[in-house]
Amino acid sequence: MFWGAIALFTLVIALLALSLLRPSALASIKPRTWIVGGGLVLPVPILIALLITALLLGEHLLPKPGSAEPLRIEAHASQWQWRFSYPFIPDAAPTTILHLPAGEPVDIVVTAEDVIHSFWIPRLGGKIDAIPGHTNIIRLQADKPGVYRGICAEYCGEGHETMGFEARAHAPADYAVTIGGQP
Amino acid sequence: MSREQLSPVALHKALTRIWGTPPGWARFSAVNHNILGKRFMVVAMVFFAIGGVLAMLIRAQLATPDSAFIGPELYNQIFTMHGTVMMFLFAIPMFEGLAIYMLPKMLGARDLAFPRMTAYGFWCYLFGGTILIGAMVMGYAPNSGWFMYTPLSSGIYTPGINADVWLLGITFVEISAITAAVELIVTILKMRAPGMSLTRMPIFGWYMLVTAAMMLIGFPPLILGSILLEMERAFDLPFFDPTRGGDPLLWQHLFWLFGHPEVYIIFLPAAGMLSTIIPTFARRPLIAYNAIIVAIVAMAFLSFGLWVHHMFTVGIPHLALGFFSAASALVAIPTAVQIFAWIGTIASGRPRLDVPMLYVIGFFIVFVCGGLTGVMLAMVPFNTQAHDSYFVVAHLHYVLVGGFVFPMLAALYYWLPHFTGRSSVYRLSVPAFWLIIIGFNLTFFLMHLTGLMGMPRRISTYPSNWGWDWLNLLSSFGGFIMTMGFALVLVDIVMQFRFGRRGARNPWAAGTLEWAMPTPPPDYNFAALPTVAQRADSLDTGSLGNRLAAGDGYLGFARAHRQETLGVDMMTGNPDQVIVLPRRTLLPLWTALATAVFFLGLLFKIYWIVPLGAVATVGLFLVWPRALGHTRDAGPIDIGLGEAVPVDAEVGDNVTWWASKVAAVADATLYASLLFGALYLAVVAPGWDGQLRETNWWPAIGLLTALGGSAAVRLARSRNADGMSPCGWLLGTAALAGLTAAACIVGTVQLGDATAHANISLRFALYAYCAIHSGIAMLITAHTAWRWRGGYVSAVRATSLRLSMLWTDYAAVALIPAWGLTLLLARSGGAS
Amino acid sequence: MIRHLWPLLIGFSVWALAFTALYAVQYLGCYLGWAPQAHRVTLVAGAAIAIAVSVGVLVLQIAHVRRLGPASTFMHRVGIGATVAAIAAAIITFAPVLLASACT
Repeated sequence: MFWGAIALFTLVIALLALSLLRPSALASIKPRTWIVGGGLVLPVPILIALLITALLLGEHLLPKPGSAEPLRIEAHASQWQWRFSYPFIPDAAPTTILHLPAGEPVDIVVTAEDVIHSFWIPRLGGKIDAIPGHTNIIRLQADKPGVYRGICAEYCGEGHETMGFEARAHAPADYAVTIGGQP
Repeated sequence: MSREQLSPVALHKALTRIWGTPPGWARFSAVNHNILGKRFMVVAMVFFAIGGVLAMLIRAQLATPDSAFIGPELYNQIFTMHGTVMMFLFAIPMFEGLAIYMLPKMLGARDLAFPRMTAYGFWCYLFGGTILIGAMVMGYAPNSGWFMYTPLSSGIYTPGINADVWLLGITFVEISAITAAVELIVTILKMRAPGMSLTRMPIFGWYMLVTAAMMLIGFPPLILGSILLEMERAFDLPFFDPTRGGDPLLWQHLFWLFGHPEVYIIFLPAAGMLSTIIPTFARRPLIAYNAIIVAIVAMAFLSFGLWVHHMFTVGIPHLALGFFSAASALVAIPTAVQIFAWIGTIASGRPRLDVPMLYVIGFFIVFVCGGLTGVMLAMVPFNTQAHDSYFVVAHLHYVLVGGFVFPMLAALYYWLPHFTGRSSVYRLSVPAFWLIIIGFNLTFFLMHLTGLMGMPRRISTYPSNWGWDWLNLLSSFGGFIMTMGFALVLVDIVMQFRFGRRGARNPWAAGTLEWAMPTPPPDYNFAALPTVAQRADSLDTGSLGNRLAAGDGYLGFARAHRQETLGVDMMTGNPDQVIVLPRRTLLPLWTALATAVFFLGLLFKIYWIVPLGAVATVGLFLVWPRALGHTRDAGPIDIGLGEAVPVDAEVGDNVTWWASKVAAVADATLYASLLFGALYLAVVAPGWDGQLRETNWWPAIGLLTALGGSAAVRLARSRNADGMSPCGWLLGTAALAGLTAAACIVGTVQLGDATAHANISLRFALYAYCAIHSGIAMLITAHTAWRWRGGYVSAVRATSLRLSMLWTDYAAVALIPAWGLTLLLARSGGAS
Repeated sequence: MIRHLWPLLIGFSVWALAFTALYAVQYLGCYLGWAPQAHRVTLVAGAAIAIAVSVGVLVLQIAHVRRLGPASTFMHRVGIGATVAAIAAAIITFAPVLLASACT
């Protein structure tokens, strides 16, 4: 997408420069050719290809109900903190650090207490809004154990920039121990 | 009828006596589009400077990590105001001002269709903007973002008046957008030079026609959203409260239903200017005129089908995202058509470079870049990553600065000689260009990178270990370079007004009608109206201007101390009426002041004063028609060149009638948004299970009386057409409309506690809307009866009766869906 | 006004109506819990009907211009272009009904 954009930008600006500096080089091009060529032939196939790719990729990323149900972690946002809970482990206490199992997809179930927030771990994927009255789900996967930074991406008032959190991905063996043992 | 031919100088003096506005206090009564267009632009530039200073504060704060220059509380006010000022107080009024000034000249008219409405719109804009800036100076600026997402902007999370300032101030300003839209549409369709069929209209007219139509449809959802949110804040009606059957997402839908078309509303006038400037410097007419018309119509429609791309992360099903993603990508095609039409025009002409062209090149570079990132953002997977990050900040500035500010600067330099009658001396415009384009790219190109590195928007500070430090510092540095560029432009403008050499008329050898007049233009634009026999973008303006100044054309005389211009058939451009325009008056100012009382009463919660303001506003509006109208039928009158047409009051197809129909479209859009909101909440919002609501029968009674009114007004109309008194039936219609309004009001009272659940508050809003419109119908019919008694209405001069019928029918039709939704909502439940 | 401007507006008006209707059907289907297959079929049928109607409008517009011959105006001719653009827009914007998940 990036190189495509660069190429298109260069093409348009080059044509503009040529038309200003050497109009004779382009003077033989008919008006219809400009409109059909530049306005239709050039962008339409590119846009269609992009749309199809994006649609397929988007389908792939969806949290669809499938054969293997991933773990569901609940993320609840309020001004200005996140609280993560793990309903699949009976006694797990809620945490302020998000603990993820590495190497497998998880569904984060995002809700909000007061105003609109947005759940985003830039290195793991897209974001999803936390909206009062709504429940949203995003499917993420941390490939390797480690620490990832998460933030609130929707403006939510005075403490907006302080509403970051830490996401720790654990090797599957350690995972249950971690959330079970965390106060 | 023979008429003594005056000398050009005597004609100029005679017309100036009629059209002129004297200096001093009389300037407050100005209604002339020359004065008001310039006022709009000057005030918009002041707001641009204010917005620019706010931007500088933002960049100063973000230049370094962990900055303590301004705290989050102030920062939130500043970024909210930066967005608000730039979008609502700069961009829209700026192009409105240019259109108000330029359109009548390009189309060959002496003024816009409703000069007093222009003035009223200006005062609303000025007062509304002043409320916003005043609040900011006192430290009560809105602080919930320019998008005002609720619940953050609700009474619970923003308890002060900050959010009310936004909602009321912006709604006040939007009055000017609606009046401008109505006025521009009617002027473009009805007030062109004789012979200028739609095919011969300069392309700028097409652009503004489409833009004005978009404003007419685009602004009402925002106005409705603001009214609903203000009602929630002031009276606790829970339209957006998820605990009582509301939904915060309804606000987002209404806001972006306006907010995305808004971007194209801003871009299209700029593109229209480019389509005017580029052919002049390419020294050939624009290529692909028809393809461009198709492209802008396509753009207008598509732009209403992509608002959800601001909401890709709110949890909407993938299929819906697919629709909006495809529409967002698709809008690139009409844009590409225009870009290549411009390049093709240059390539097939004999291009020459001058200052305006320099800024046009700047436009190409910046805007193409912004368009490409726009296509990227249209793709859902990329969007969920980049949304609400600095990548979007970069994109939107590339689009808006590239798509509006650069073309506006080009337009400024292109038309400055028209405003001043002088040419530039110092050529500060060239270094200014380089400062702006280098500064701009330094500031915003780097923001693509900070965004991709994960920097979210609207944070007042950031720690230094995330690798954003030097990018932000360079962005801030670039911002200050750009500011210097804008300061130079300002100096250059002042210099040109002050010291510019008196230049020759039409320095660029342009072929559009605005150059066929002396510069700076006289108050009446054209001493005689031209006849157009070809597309009005490649005219010989020099010789035409001289002929017109000598009075050689239509209406080349001063008559009866009346401001006269011509109305034409919409398609063919054949003259069909003499439009008599109202002369200068203080009424628009007084009316706007009364409106300000209404808004300030709401803002400061002094509720007893609110109805006073409303009554005063309506009362003053009813006084407006007094200055116009005729008490006898005059028949066709001489318009020069051996032709005669009736005055506007005596033809059915006049501008007042057109404007009413156009205004009804805007009103219906507002109502449709309300109906959409009601359906949306009933289907989507949480908390709608539980007990059923009682059906309220009062609106059904109102519907019957309203239908009776529609029948009565028809009888009044046919009596008037037969030359008999329509007064009895008119007063009967008014009485029935009053009953309808009363039934709706009783209905709202019967609803019970409207704060309990959105189900009730929605019905409250529907009935209130119907009550207001029945009230309007009552006033208009009663007013018509009064006008008839004054002798202003006859079988021929029947516009008032047509208006009575339009608004009586509107009120009746509005009750039908209100009643239908009442039945639906009664079945939708909603726990109390 | 509409009497003269309709050729320019009709194609995209059909598009806008169909767009709104498909969006509403998508939402209502999820809200009312329709079977995914039935939901999909309705949506695809809706899109197909919308495209067919637009093509029908185009055919009528072309026939209208033919019938008028030299009396056809610029508006009629530009209107044909606008309807062609609207059909293309319908095909591209409605294409996701074939594939994308309707309710997740």
